[in-house]
Amino acid sequence: MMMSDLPFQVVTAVCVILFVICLTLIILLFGLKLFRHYWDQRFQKRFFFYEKHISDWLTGIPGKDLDALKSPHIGDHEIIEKLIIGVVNRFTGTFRHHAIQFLEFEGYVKRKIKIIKKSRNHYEKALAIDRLGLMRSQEGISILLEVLNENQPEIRLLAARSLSRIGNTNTLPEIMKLLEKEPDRNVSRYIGIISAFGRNALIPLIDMFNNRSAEKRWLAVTLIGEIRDPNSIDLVGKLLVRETNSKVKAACIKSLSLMGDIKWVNEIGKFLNDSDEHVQIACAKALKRIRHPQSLSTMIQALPDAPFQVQYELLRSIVDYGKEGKTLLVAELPNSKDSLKNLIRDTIRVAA
Amino acid sequence: MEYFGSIVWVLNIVVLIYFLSLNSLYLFFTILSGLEIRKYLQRLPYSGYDYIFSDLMTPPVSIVVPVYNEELNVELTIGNMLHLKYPKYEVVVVNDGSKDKTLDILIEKFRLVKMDTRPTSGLTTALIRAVYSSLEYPNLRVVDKENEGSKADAINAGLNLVKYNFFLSLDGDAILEEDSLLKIIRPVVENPDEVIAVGGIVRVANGCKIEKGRVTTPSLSKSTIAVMQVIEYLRAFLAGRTGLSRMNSNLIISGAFGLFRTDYTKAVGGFRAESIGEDMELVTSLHAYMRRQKKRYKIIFIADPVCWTEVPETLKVLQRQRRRWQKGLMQVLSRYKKMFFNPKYGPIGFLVYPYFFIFEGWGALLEISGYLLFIISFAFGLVNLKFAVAFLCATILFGTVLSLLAFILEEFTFQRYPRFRDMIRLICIAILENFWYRQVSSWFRFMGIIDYLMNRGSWGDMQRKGIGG
Repeated sequence: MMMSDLPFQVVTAVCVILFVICLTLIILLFGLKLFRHYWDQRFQKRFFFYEKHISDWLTGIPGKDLDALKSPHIGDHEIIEKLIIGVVNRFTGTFRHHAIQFLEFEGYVKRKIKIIKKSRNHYEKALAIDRLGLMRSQEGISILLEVLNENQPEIRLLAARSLSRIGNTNTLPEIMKLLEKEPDRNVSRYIGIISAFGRNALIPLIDMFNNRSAEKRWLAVTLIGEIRDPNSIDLVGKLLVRETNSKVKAACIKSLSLMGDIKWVNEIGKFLNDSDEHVQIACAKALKRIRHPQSLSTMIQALPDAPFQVQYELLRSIVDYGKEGKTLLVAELPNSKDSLKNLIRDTIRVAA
Repeated sequence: MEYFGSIVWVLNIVVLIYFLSLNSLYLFFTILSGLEIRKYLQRLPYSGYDYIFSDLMTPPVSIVVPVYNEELNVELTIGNMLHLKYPKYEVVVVNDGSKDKTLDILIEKFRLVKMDTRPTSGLTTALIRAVYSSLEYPNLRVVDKENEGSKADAINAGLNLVKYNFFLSLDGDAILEEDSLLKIIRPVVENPDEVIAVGGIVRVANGCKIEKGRVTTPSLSKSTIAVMQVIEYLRAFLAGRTGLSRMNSNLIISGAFGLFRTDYTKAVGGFRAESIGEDMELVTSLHAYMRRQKKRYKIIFIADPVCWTEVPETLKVLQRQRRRWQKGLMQVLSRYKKMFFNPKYGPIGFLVYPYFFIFEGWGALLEISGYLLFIISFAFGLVNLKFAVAFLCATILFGTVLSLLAFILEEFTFQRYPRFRDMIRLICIAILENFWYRQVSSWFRFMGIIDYLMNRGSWGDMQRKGIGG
């Protein structure tokens, strides 16, 4: 039952050919390694050349050195783009202005706009939108405004963030309109975006105090706290008194503490007895931030009956008041339950 | 006698065809992997991890780490996990009834306090003794549970506690690179609606320089067995799984380093506690579930995010590991035999499941008996020289080609072993392993099949030297 030897010869030949191909590839690989080593050295020289020119440029001779960057070698675009974006985001004034001009003249901005218009890859598009914001070129505004109407929430969000980075206040109403339409689950992601507009965002944010969506009221209060506008303190305090949503209440408390006004400290203390744990925790943290001596006794009183997490936050706040806080805690030790005792000891030990 | 000779001859031909088919399939997967990795690398300059993953796009992730008798490594590995470059994540460590000081070390080093919280719902697991939170790291929780003898049960206990919709399953001795989490989440960011699981590459930590829980200089171990596993892992992960991923037909995402969607994992009942190959079991059941639900989905493997792990350096420990893996594989294959040539499962039914069933599952029986048959036939002159040469080419030379291709793929792409000395050693080992290691490995798999058929064997302990260097 012997068969022809031909199939075996074919098998042998194919295997040997594959092996020879492998060996060739390995020789190529080593050749490539050597070439890369040489290339890396050259590339490093060129890279340092760019770096040197940029640093010269930063020390005050812009126009001439921009020319040095105008004919980059193929494959270097990414590096140059990152370098210039670094300049745009690290500096202000003339340096930033020239760097943005460079990105516009050299077509880096247009390239990103093209990707945003044509790419079907969600990720590449997102990255281009993000980079366009980092380039801070006014040229990018119109395409970014268009993108605000995209279906993907992440894309809309990135476009809004890029617009906030560019910082043209004329785009703020469009972003606020978008925020109005956004479902509640996306709202929190707009914090950084709107806060970038600073005080320009105050009026639309205060208007939002009456919004039906608790998430949007929460956002407005949180941002007002971050902007730290002293004129808004009473408005936030009034909202705290009438608010029913725990998350918004907690945000009001935090904002009041960030604005640092002691007028509302008693009102904040009352919320240590709120039924919601998050509000209580926000209170404990707020009282730590305000550091008003009157708050110490309020916190000590609330300590025994508070839930574990609240106790933990209260203790951290009390200890933060320094010696006075620690003395009160030590005095409280004999009257406390075992679990609280342990926690008090532990917190004091950590603080030490 | 002539009749006997004919039977032996036919059997030899069958074995030859088997080896040719197996290695050709490997070659096919390697080519697919090459294409996939090329595509991945072309897009790498646009990765922009720093920008895009800074906050907005990145879904939060829960890292679930089961630990059992990990007193040597636990402080280092958990400490490492708490310092990853990622915007929002939590670490849930499950102490699976360790008999050593694992829990004490965790309590002391991470300042744990017992919480009243108990997992409220979800998957059935062994008794939970306590849940701890860290006073120092708000994103760290530790579950202390009774040991039920399976890693799956421990992961399920962690799953009952996780907060986020993606979780990363990780081994207690695994070392992640700083940006591994960012890299493994990227397919989810690109396609948030469809990607339900992502696997990353597991590499061999033996011999690497490790400082403060990070691999600072990858290099090869002095142990030949460990280096042979480097080649083996490259072949399996870089060449094999990347290729399967291109067809959305990956059946294995290593439980040592795999990202899964929490809701779907819970929908399929989590990791199967009685299964030894719990990671393969989960991925296969996810495929089955998603196809039953007629939902579009992707299970992806990417070779860039790296997790380093310690591998056995003695044949004794290696044998235990491989027999366990093989038994687990056989269990899963038998449980999902409905996939075999089933058109409902697309390429999985027609190509991948049959491949696993024939070659990865029962193949070791044919390999061991084939080698023996060939030696006996050659000794008694029952096969001619041309057949013998063809047989050796199809088994050893073709095997060497595949090992070298895996090495080449590595060197053309990720180049984790840049030192010239390591490269030369890898080439030598890639050739040498085909002369004994693969046969020994087949023998261990063969024993694993016997264990499966006799329903014997248990987890056994991996003897660790500690990865702290």
